[in-house]
Amino acid sequence: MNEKNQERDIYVGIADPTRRKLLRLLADVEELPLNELTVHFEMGRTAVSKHLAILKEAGLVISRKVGRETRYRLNAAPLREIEDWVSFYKKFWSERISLLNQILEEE
Amino acid sequence: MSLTVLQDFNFKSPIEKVWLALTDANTLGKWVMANDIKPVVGHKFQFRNEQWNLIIDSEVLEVEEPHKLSYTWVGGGINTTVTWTLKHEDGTTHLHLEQTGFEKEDQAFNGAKYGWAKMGEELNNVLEVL
Repeated sequence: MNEKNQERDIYVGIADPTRRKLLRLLADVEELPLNELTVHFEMGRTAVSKHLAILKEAGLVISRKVGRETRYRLNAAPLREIEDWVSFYKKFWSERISLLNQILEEE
Repeated sequence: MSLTVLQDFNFKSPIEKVWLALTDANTLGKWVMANDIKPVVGHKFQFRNEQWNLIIDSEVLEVEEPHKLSYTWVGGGINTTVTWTLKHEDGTTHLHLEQTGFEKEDQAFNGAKYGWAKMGEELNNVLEVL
């Protein structure tokens, strides 16, 4: 019941290449209906719709009904968590390299 | 969305010297972690830091002295590949780092960020003492 807008781990959300492609498609537009998203994939609309459901559960996609169609929109904010995580490594290597610099200059 | 760490560094030192710092276990140990690396394709080695309780399992994938070195970096909850590319130009050695494979999802992937956060703090302490 808690944290209704993120029921699924964000890392699961982006683990699948189809879902990453969906995010990329949605990143370029305001919103897209299921049909227009499905044309970019080999799979049918049911399969694409399942992937979108997982993205929704991870809080990465927001949907709304317009008439009979459902339109999807990217919600990129949760991706920040991943960026933060990867940035640990950036920091790690930057710090290591500054040590290396000292070593190289000492000699 | 890129889950690759890409970084570029420049050094005034000759390329051979930077190459040595990447491939000589003793020198590498001074700036990364204690290790038993050998620049030989297929060589399996470890980075170890007992203070952080961290062991990284590695295998050398590519050696192109003094221009390219690639090895796996598996541990601390992640399964990645580290690739160093070196280039010397106008008295400067350019070092390019790519750490790839962050997109490989498993339970450990999620746990890794906490481990590395802790490690980042430790690093700051270590660097302050130096």
